[in-house]
Amino acid sequence: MLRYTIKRIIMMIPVLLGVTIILFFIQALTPGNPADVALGQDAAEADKAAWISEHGLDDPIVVQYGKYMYKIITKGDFGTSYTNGKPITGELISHWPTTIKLALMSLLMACIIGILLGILAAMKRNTWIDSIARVFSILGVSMPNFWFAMLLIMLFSLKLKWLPVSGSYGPMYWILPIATLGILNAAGIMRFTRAAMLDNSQQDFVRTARAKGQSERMVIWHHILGNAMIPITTCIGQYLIGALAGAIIIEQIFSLPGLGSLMMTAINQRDYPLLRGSVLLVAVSTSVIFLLIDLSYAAIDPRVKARFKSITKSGKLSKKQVQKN
Amino acid sequence: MREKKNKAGVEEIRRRSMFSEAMARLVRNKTAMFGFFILVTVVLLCLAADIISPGGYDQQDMKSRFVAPGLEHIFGTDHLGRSMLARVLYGGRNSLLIGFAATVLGAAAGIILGTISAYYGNMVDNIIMRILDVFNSIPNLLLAIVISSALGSGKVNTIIAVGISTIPGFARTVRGPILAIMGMDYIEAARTIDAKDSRIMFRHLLPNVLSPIIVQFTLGTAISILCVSSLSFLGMGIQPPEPEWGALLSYGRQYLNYYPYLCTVPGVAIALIVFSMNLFGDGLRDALDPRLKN
Amino acid sequence: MNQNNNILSIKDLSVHYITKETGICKAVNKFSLDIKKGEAIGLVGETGAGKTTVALSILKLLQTPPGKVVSGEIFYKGKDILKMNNSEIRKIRGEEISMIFQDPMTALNPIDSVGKQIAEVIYLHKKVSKREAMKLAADALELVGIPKERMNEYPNQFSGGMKQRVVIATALACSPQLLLADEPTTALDVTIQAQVLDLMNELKKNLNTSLLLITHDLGVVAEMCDRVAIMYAGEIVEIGPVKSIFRNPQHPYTRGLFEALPSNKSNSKRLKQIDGLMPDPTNLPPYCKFEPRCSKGSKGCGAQCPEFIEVSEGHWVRCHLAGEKWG
Repeated sequence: MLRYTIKRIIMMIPVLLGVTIILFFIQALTPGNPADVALGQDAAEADKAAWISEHGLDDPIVVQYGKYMYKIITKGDFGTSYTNGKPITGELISHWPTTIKLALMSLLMACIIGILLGILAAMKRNTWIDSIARVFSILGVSMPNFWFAMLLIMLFSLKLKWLPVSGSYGPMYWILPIATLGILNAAGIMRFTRAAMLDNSQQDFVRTARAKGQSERMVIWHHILGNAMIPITTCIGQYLIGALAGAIIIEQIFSLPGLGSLMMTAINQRDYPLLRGSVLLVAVSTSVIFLLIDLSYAAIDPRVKARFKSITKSGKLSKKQVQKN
Repeated sequence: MREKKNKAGVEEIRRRSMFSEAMARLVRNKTAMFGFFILVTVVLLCLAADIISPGGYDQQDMKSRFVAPGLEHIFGTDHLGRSMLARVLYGGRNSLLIGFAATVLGAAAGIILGTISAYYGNMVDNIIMRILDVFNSIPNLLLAIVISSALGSGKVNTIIAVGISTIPGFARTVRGPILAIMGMDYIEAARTIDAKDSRIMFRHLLPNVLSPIIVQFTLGTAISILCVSSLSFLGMGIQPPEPEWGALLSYGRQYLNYYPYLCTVPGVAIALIVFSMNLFGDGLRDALDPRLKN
Repeated sequence: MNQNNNILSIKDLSVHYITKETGICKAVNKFSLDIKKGEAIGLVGETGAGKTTVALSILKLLQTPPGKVVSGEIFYKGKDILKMNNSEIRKIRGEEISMIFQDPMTALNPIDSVGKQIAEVIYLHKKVSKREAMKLAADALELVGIPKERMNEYPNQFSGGMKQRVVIATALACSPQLLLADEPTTALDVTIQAQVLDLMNELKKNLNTSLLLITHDLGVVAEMCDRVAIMYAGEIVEIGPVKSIFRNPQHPYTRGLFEALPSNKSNSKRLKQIDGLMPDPTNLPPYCKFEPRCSKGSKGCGAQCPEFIEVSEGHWVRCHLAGEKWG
């Protein structure tokens, strides 16, 4: 297990290298001069040239890339922002918690609502409860998050005046952003849970459990849900990645100082190092989430665990495994 | 030789009858047909924008600014007195067209990559899949944002940005089933008679993964439309005065307190089109692959 | 037939599967069967005859919808199972009546260790702690010939035959009065089949369990059972002691089954087959269900349903021509 984890972490390195290469490549394609934005259109050409060479932008792209990577690997230094000159590492550290908090809290809400509703819908299949749950799920999947956020603002902030419109001055300011992503993602998770529950409730081992005299409650919560959690885990991981991306837009609407706001500033200011750092951070998070999904598989599903063990031991089936089969 | 032809003929008939059966199942599915009806209605309305609003989306009328929805202006007017009906219809053209074109682009590239990857296996597969892993590690929308920020705004650039972000999804949709089929005897048989690679791919492999491609295309277009409007909402993609649903929402945001209809109309439009596509796409999946149905 | 001797008594059971697409599928029709204490009965018939449906009905495990018991009674120790509520039937399931399912590959929960799966049934019915249940489960595993060290392993680490042993251990863990075995060997290799059957036979003798063995293998019936019931299109067409039926099969369908067996006495090179297919269960004929495939049929067969006729002691057959000499 540990060896598998280490192997997977090592496998992340080329992926993340790829991300940095792509980001550099995209930057090279970008028209316009970042100095125009940093110093203003009207700045003297000499100043602009000085600025360019100061930031190493007159080097060939390969050299720039090499310097950039060297700094990251040796010092964990992602460079400094073009716009305010602050180190990017610090900017990321100060903005990251907002985004991850929004993503995780909304995902938690989505899981609770989505999984419970999904179980309910599957158990009450073809009843009005199921119908309502299905309409909710497909509406939720279809609703753009920024539009749903605005609907919530219209209702709870402007009309009922229960909650603040935007800003970040306390827990009240977090309710609407979390609810926006939480409710929408709940729809998707619900849909998935329902399908996985129905799929597993048809399995033979469920009948076996009933034939043992097991109570319906345990049949549903242990035997059916236990197996349904395997696909549901994948789904939750996907939604966590989705919530990260969604947080970027939602932060904009509710003026939360997260990674999304940072990224939009970086894009508007042509602040390449800042954009690179932010995207790289998201890519790292995504890769870690993918790894966590795979590891949690092993925790839930002994079949996967067995495969992990045999893979890490020899690359093929181990002797013990062969004998057992 | 004749036998082979016969077999191909039988295969052809089997495929055709499966297709007509699937269509029959689809037509019987009421929710799917409901989605299809909404989809067609909205698309037709957007296409008929010239007829419904011959003045175009940018016809200003400073005397009737911020007119609430009513008989004269069904969807009201904005701060320049432009008809929201016209802006939503012309905006819909942009949203739908860009979303559709982006999906076509992504599908074409993704299908080719996925097929090549599965067919040649080993090194080729490894390289292509690792590159897709890189793209996969950045969420769709974020990828589109980054590409779009580099390319700049505009229709073509947005199509490219959104299209690229859908490639990995299509490649994976195609690769899995093809890998499964690759192991089957009739592919082996085709290889032993020295069939050309391209023939095996187009004649034997791709027709078998048509169902998942069709489903992914329908649901993918819905996602692309969401992606396009998200981009425009963030101030990339399509920019004012050119209308687009996301851009209209972004514009209406500042008047949310006083003129909420400026947001409601485009917001409902996006939700409606994506909703109908999801309904139809789900119906398609159930019809094409009854085993998956719950 | 002494009523008190019967551990289970099924009377006129009819089960329908009702779906929108196919309409009403009459899977079991007026099915009656008594099982005595300690007796082993074989229930033989081809796929789709309704054997499994009968077994599932006994434990109220039919999936409803689409399945539905339309009429009939199933008396277990004098109480009608079909009228029991959920908690009453749960006490019987696994403890008094247990079931072995056809496919051991899918009958075990992949995410629980085999020990836990056996302990589950013990913990549910015996007043023991979870730890003691695990101990008893270990004993049950040993009983079916699996070393107890393997009880923490998962089903994916077991072969098909070993899985079926686990299933048997689960079914017998609470020493049930009645065991329903639904084609327990069909999914297994021939060599493993004999092992599993021997094991079941032995355990059955030791525990004095009654057995309803569902199979389409007459050889298995000869080895395991006291009586045999031949089922066709949802009803029993012939029932009697194994010896009597094997020596003197009366129903043309039963004869067909025997003729379809390879035998070292006959010198014909090809096995005989019963022509035709079972009637469509959504559209059963109102007369003898076997008439369309019967080679011996006379004119009366297409007119009405035959009643049971006793041809020798305890040997009943449902055929208009029963008792007549065969040519």
